[in-house]
Amino acid sequence: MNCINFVVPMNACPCGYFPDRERCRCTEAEVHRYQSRVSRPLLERIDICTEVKKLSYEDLHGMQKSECSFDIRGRVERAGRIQSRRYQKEPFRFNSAIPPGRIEEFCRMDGEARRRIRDVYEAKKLGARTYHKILKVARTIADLDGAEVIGKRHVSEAVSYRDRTWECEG
Amino acid sequence: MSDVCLAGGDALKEKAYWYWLCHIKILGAARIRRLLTVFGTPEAVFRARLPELLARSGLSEAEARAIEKAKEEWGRCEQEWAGLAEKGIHMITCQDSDFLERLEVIPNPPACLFVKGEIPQDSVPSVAIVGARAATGYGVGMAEELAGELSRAGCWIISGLAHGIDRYAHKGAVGAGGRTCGVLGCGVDICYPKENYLLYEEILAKSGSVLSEFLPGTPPLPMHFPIRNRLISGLADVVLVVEARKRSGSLITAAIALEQGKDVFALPGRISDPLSRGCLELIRDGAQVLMDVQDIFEILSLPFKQSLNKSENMKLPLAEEEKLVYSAIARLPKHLDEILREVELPGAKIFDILLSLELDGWIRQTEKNYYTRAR
Repeated sequence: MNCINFVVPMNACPCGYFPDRERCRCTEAEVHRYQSRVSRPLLERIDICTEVKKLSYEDLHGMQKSECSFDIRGRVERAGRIQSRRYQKEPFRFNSAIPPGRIEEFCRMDGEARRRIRDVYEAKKLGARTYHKILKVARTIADLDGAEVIGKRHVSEAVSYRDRTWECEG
Repeated sequence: MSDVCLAGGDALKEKAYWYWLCHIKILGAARIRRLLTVFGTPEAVFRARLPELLARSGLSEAEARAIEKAKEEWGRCEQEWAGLAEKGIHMITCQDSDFLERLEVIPNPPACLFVKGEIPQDSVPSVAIVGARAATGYGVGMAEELAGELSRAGCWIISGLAHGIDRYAHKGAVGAGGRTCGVLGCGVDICYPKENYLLYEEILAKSGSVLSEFLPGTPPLPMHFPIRNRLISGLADVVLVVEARKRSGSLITAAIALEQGKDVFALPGRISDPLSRGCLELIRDGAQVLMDVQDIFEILSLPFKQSLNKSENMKLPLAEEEKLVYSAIARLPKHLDEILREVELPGAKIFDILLSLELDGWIRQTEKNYYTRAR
């Protein structure tokens, strides 16, 4: 089965600076119009959405020490191996491919995580698709963390990767 | 304007005649008031014949003929009028005892108003918050924060439901559980701009109101806005201009406010910021400079407000770590990265607490990853 990784950047407004209001000269209507060019149904199908922050000079010139790519790759490969073992008897290889009917089975959560995802489900009025996506991402976060059962913080992190347009802004 | 007392059914009929009179476009508020001084009631105006209209009221020929012609529309007007109640729209005329004194005393007072919701009573202090449509983060953040503070202290917040400052002023009031009134440049049944529709609904749901001098169904034409601005300042005791470019509409509202004898405050900003230019000019020309919400409290003789933060946090029903995160969040939206830098807890824990606080309604995100207090 051929899979693709779909990774795409997007600006938040025509001038590209939003939400940096010091520099963004777009009216709210312009921002809204620009963002609504990508429909909510499409955005709901995206698993992870994150912000790319403006780099400070220090960041650019490596004054800050951060985790090196080699170590990160190691963690990713470890998580990949966990998934290979988990799905060895299955027709799929990765968490992203878990069919809806088997989410419960593979994405086991502890009590707190269960309560957290339920609260989010109700507060944000989620649909089934979004709910399943959050759990699958949480499963991966837990794998990267070396945790067997999904905990509250894994769910929280997964929730933080949902795109903002799922909220209704009055 | 003297009160004209009428019994039950007659009163309703009289209102229908009022509605009819208001819909004659060529007549402005001043003309309508003049007609009422001469004829007493709108019904009497309706029954007056053309020669009488011309002779007694100082109307121009065009105006008198327009009234004459409008008599044909009576049936339609009566029906439309009957339909207003269903839409939750009621009409207050200058002959009603509950017509606002505040609006009665301004130059060129309105003759009648259409309202959805509760209007700001004369006895309650009110503050108008106006400013640029394309405002900066500083401006909208301050508008929201100040509106919240003032409405918590019991003031009505008056604004125009426009983009930018107006919107955040209304939001600030609603968010603080206070009451706010949006004065529109179109019919009260129309929400302009449409992006503010949810806010429009929320204002009404939270015991606020939308008000207009224009008939229901009137579209938001550009020329309506300067006219309605006199009502925004008219309804207020104090007018605050948050951000304005030089020569902007908000400065005209400030000028009108001065004519009406209101106190005008302007929020200072950086001299390099074009959006603070208008406010700085107002200050130079004599408006009061707003350095603290207390400044307005003093003018309105409201009780001194205890400063927030430290003392307030002590009483919150939050766990220690939650309080730590919560205290890093203010009313001005703050980015996640800043919170991560300021709060001495591991990142994963902070994400977790932020989500908890958000779900419990203590904080909310204005944009993705920008957090602000929700109550």
